[in-house]
Amino acid sequence: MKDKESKWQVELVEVTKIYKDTIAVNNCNIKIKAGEFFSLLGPSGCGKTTTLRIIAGLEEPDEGKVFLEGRDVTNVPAHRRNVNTVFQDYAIFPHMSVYDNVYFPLKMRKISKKKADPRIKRVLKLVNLEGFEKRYSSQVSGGQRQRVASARALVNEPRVLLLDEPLGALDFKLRVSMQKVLKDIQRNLNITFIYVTHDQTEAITMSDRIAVMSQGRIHQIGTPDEIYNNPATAFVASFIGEMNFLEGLVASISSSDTVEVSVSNKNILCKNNDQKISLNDGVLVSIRPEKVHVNPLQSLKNVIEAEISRIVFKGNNFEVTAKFDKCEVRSLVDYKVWDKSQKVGNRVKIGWNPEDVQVFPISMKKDMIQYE
Amino acid sequence: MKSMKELPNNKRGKKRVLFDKPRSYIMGIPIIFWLLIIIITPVILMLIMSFRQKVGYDISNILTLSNYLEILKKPSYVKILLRSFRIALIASTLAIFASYPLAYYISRKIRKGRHLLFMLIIAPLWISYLVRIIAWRAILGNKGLINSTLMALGLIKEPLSFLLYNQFAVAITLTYISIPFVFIPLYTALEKIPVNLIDAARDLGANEFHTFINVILPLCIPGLLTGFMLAFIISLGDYIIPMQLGGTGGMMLGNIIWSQFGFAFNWPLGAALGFILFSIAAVILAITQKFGSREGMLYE
Repeated sequence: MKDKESKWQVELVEVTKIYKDTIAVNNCNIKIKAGEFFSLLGPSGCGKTTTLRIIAGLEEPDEGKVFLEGRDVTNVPAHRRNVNTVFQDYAIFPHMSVYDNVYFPLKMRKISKKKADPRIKRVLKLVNLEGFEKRYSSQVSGGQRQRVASARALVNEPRVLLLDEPLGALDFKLRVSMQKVLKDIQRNLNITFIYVTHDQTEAITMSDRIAVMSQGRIHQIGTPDEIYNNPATAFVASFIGEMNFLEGLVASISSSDTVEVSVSNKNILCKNNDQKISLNDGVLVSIRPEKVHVNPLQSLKNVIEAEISRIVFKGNNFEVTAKFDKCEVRSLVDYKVWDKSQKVGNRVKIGWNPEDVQVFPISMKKDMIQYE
Repeated sequence: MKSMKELPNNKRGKKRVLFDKPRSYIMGIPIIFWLLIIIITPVILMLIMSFRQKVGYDISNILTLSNYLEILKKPSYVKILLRSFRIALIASTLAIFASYPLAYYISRKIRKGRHLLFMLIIAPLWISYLVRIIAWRAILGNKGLINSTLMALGLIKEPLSFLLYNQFAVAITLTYISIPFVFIPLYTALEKIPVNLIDAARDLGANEFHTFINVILPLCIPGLLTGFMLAFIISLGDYIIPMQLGGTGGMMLGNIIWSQFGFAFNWPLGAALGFILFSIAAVILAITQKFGSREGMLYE
């Protein structure tokens, strides 16, 4: 038995969900604190929505348990859980006005319309939908529909709000402004948000913590900083942000904090990130383009010679691809720093700090996001 | 020249444009022509016929209201009209109650074999109408299925005579005939309801019953009305079922119309009765159309 005063608001313990012949969610453990903005991030089909639906009570896990505020709710149906969901396509009742949509959850709690009215007005004000009460979902825009769905999910004042790609259908500008709106609501009402998204930028900018999922498994749970700078697996490294990957062999594990990898006869120093690797193992080395310096001014521990094979202007920076043997390394160089006289074919030095280089066993390559 | 005609903004706040290209007018002509031939002309001919009068074995060309006045004056016509209305109402209501659970379970609860069940329900439509009516005679008759079963069980000594040749038999058979016509629009309406609306209702605290009352039922009202309308119109105008199963007490408006055209050779009176029937159907259609497309009910 769990004690009542569990410090976790939402807890998934070894949750598994199997559909016919695919494992949608594979042995997931997640613990979420009260008031946290927690994101489930992963490519489509990774099991993030299923995980959310298990928390909502719309799916029952085949194995494992779900706890809400320390209470085992694994077998409690959705309508008796104190969580509400903002659905991906909003799921606004087309036969009800905006007002009646927001009233619906209160009506289900047998609260009279008269009593509910101030609450409905308050929540409509919160999402900036005053004046739209009488409209139907077919009469409002996509962004407004999103806000109707949010208002309807918030009016019950749930302890936990589940959001399933709530901004997925909106265009970029609207998405950015709605991100702010949602984040403000979360902060002001101090509600736990569990946010499903495939958009890594959205997850990184909004979340307190992120769980990165792929093929039903959780690869890493951590703060955006940890996920970005210390990816636990090659999948996380490939999914979040831009990344250079090089293949090599472990040349030496010289000390507790660095690993030396031989890539095409060049030695690359990596941070020892506690992966299960030993001498002469095949490994993947990953470096973020913005951590790669071209002709570095400062002294770096790891510098190799390469040849420029491509220069792409990207507005505020240049993407410079440098080649050594058959390996290509992309580098992002700030517009102001870049020496514009450099041309394709020039010999340059490229370098990085070992702390910015991760190493993964080659076996992780199969999980990586493959770009064509 | 104005090639575009703008209608005033409708309630949805979007501008509606009728005939955005002049060519659209031309495209519409065959349809209008077709409607004229198969629907509008016959109705107008019937309307004209209803104002003429039978004189001996001839039909005069003088237009008069006498047929309508005769119908209103004769209590038996009014009585049969009201009876037809009542039987059609009962039959279509019963057909709704019989079809709804079927449509609900097949469209929303059953995953495997859904199409097979759907086909089974509409299968009677492949069997001759007359055969199915005769079958009901075999079920309800004195030596029919019900009576012989009850007698074999010793529950009754004499066959129950109230089963056949009355309004009850007509209503039951009309219900049976209407079920597939009610089932199809209901099934379609129920199947179209997005699953995520049901999920949302559950998520927002509605149990299965409340989800049904607040979400599923209101969203299938268009299908419900269409089914009701089809059943009502089919039942109201039917004359074979009352003829076969109705006896003298179960006669409906269709029978009188039939006899006016078939035996009495009083085509004008038959046309007047026919036009009354047509008007009732048109009114029902208009009412269901109005409620069926209520604002916000349908998906864009």
